[in-house]
Amino acid sequence: MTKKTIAKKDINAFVEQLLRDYTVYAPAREANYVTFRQVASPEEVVWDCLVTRKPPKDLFFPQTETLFVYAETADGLQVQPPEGVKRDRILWGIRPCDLQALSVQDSVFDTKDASDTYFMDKRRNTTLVGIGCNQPLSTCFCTSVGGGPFKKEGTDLFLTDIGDAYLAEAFTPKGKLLLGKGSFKVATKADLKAAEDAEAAALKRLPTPIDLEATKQHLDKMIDSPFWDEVQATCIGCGVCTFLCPVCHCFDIVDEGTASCGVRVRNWDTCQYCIYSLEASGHNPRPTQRERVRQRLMHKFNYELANQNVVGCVGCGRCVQLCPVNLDIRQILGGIGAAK
Amino acid sequence: MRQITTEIRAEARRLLENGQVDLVIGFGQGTLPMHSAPLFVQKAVDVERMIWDSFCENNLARYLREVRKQRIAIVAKGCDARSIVALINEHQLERERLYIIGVPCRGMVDRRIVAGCAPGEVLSVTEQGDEIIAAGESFSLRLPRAEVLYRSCATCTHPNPVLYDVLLGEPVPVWAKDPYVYVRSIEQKSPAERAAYFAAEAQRCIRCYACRQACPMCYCEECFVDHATPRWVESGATASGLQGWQIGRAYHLTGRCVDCGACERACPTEIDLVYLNGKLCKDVHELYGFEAGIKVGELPPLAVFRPDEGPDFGLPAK
Repeated sequence: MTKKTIAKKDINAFVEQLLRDYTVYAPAREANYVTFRQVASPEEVVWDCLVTRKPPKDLFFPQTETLFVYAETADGLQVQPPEGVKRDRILWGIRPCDLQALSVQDSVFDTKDASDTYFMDKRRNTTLVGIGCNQPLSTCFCTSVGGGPFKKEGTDLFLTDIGDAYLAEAFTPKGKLLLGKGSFKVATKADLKAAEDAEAAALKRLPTPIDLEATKQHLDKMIDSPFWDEVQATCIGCGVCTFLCPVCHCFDIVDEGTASCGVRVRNWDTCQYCIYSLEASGHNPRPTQRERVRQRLMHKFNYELANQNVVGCVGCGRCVQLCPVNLDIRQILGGIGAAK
Repeated sequence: MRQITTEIRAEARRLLENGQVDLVIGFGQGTLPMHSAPLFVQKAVDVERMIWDSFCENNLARYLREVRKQRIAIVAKGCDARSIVALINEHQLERERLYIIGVPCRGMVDRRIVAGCAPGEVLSVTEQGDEIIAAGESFSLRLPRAEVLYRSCATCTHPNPVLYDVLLGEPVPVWAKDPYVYVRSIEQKSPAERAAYFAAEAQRCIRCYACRQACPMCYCEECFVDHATPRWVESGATASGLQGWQIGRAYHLTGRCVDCGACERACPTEIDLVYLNGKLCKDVHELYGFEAGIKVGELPPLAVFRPDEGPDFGLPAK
């Protein structure tokens, strides 16, 4: 691993250089909030936003993605897949929670049995520049679910704010390549100490880990628990918690067009919708919000652990911040241990 | 506010203890500053969890469709009460099963405006008279309440419940003169500017349908957007799919929307739905002299046929 530093005054020039060689996505303003989007200049990058409104998941798994265009022609059915990524991409400023979420997505879209070409094309052609969280928000709970404000796994290059400079750690050849494009200096002992102090201070602001294995075991016995009746009472059944979740990855495949020509698309879908589990016969195995709220928790804290050995929540707190009725997953998790 | 909280709890306790209702729908303390959360209370011991403050922003009438078999008491501010009237008029509610605890409303505070004024994360908020005091780790901020109201609340002309079984607190004076002042400001733009504005707003939609789910009037068993055979609207997050959804949603509320703004408050990408719905409310008001949810028995104009309709299907020809 290579550890260097870059002065904050030099960071814009660095981003400027990256923009010449890459398509860069970073936290930037959109309407009245900050979210990941393509930027055209370093000035657009917002540095002090820990939790962007939307996670960067749509850069790998777009809300609507064309799988192929089809048309019946004189020569038979023509199927045209979309063009892949043409210019290398940088995802700038991804936070440890969203990084961890991306690794969960990897475990879904890239398995031994199947690798999703659409997802992997974007994944392979993207360099991830992570940044640590010096001042986690009151809604952050990464440490409760196995993450941390400076967890670097999965990044190519990771930045830590150490005052007037960033400590930059390159973990992969892709990351090392970036270090050649800015005014980096070798990190001193004092720089490393400042980064350690920043991490220690951040950790103090975050909650203690929850016992994920115990939670899973409780959930094993809770499929018929009256707990869900209480929890779901005020849920309005929208898709905010799942669509803004960096981990949630359900999709629906739809043919837009006619039998003879059209586009096959893949859209985000969510277990919170009535039609998600509605079968062609009219039967719905999850007929009420009770089963849907339960499904969300079960999938994140039971099924995903059982099937992929990962937890389906990274503690980013977006669902906590944006649920229209303030259904707080932290409170629900707290209640699971006590529930019958 | 504290006085009203006390009165709400006393009323809820009385109703539950004497068995008059099975359930009281109100608000409780949320888990975050500036979030009061809808709360269902079924036992008298739980009434102490009920509160009333400047963050009771949800339109609770949206829950009534899901608890049709129970006898319910509901805490209703001006807009909730209008929605209840509109639902009664559309035969979605039986008045007899409902006990309305009316609460005059001073408008709800827009937490996004407060957060936008603060130099850091807002960790606590208190109310003092006509001021909102927001505090974080290294700041404390006083904001005039009237300047941080939700857009829909700032222009509300019906803050006092139009229908109730008991009214807690004194009716408040109406502060807004023109409910459509915001709509008019957008109307002044050229058609091309308005089209571009709408396209940009709709483009941020993530089709989470929080707007629909938060709305008391969106009670269809199957929403047009979920209908798959045939499909009415493109399924994806494309410009046409998103605009199709937003237009369809708004149109279905023509003459039925009470302009409460619950849809916009639920929207995670802050799409200007108050304009979209407000424009339709204004048109209906001007064409038919009708505001939804004001009077029981007064049906939405698009649901009635009148032989004396004017040439534009508007007010009767004079």
